Amino acid sequence: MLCGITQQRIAALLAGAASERERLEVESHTAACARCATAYRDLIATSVALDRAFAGLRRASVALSPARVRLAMRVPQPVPASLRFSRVLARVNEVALAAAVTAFAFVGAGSVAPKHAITDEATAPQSDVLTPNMHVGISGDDQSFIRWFRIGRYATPSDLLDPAVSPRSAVKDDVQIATPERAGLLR
Amino acid sequence: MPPRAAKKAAEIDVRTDRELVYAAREHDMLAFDALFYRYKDGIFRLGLAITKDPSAAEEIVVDTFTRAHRALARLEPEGSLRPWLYRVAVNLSYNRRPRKGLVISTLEDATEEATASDERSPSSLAELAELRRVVLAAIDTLGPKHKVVVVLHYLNGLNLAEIAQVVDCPIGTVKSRLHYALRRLRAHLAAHPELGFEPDAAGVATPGRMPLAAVERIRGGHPE
Repeated sequence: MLCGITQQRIAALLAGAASERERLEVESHTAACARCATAYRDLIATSVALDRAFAGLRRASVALSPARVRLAMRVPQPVPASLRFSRVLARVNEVALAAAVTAFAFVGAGSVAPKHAITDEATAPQSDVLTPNMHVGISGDDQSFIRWFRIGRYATPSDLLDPAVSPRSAVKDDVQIATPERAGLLR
Repeated sequence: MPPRAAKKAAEIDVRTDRELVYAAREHDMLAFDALFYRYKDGIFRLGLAITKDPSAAEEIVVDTFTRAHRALARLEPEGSLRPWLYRVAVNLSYNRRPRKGLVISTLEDATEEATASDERSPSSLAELAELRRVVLAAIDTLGPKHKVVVVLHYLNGLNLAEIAQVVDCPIGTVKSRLHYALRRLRAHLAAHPELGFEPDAAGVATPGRMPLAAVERIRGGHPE
């Protein structure tokens, strides 16, 4: 046998892929050829060293669950045939409910909402039981306070600038008149 | 079914890969889980040997089975699904960009953790650790094509025909790559006489004390 063929067969022999006949041929050749015998022993030694180096790693394992794969796929779990119809029905119900809520919000709310009558508590009719026994009329001071309160709360800025309403503008006018220089310039 | 009971049932599933693939195609998640538990460790070791990063190897396992699930409709395994899964794992491992500064532990650390329970003498454990360090460093010097062949054969225990399916080339090419890789590794190991490798006068490495046991071992059968 040629040396080149033997070299190729040695690799197959080390990988366990050589037949018994090929193994015998390699061994008979290496018995006669010193160069191939050396190469054969070298490769066997290397093969054993590799085997020993990987021995620990061959026992390594990983604690992984197939749920991690399902999570990575991000696909919904398969639905059994028995549940498919009910899921479609549930989806139709969800859509109908959403449509009903939207229609109520835009159309029905105005017609159904209660209309409250706005009444002034001050002018509301008093109870017949209280009227003869208690004086519940508003005094003059209270009326002026209410008027002041309403002006202060509801008046616009232009109303406040009116000298007849705002006391601040009246004070400002008094100051201008009281200053002689100012009075002279105005004349 | 509780998760633990489902895991146990998946691990002891005796159906063939082809039957499991067809069942998983019909949304039988237990069949897919059985495939997962059957091959997850082998894919993890393969990814770990190539990337040298345990967390990256875990991601390779998940990515490999994610692709398998997406390809269920067109998978037609004649025998084992292992060559297809390993081919995907090899491609994922080599297409993966190494993370800079984020390697938690190296391949040697993972290997040492796996051998920590060995009941051997400290001297033999130290010698084994040194041999492992030297050999793994020598494997790193190989190119991707030769490294894959070595890892698939010596770590995952695939024969030449299965390796040819994984790397998608003829068996003769696998033989040549394995032969070349062994010769290259032998040249690197020759620099370590303390491990039994001694170069001869011509500069070609000749084995020291190791081949005597090695020859007997090879004659006794191949590992795995």
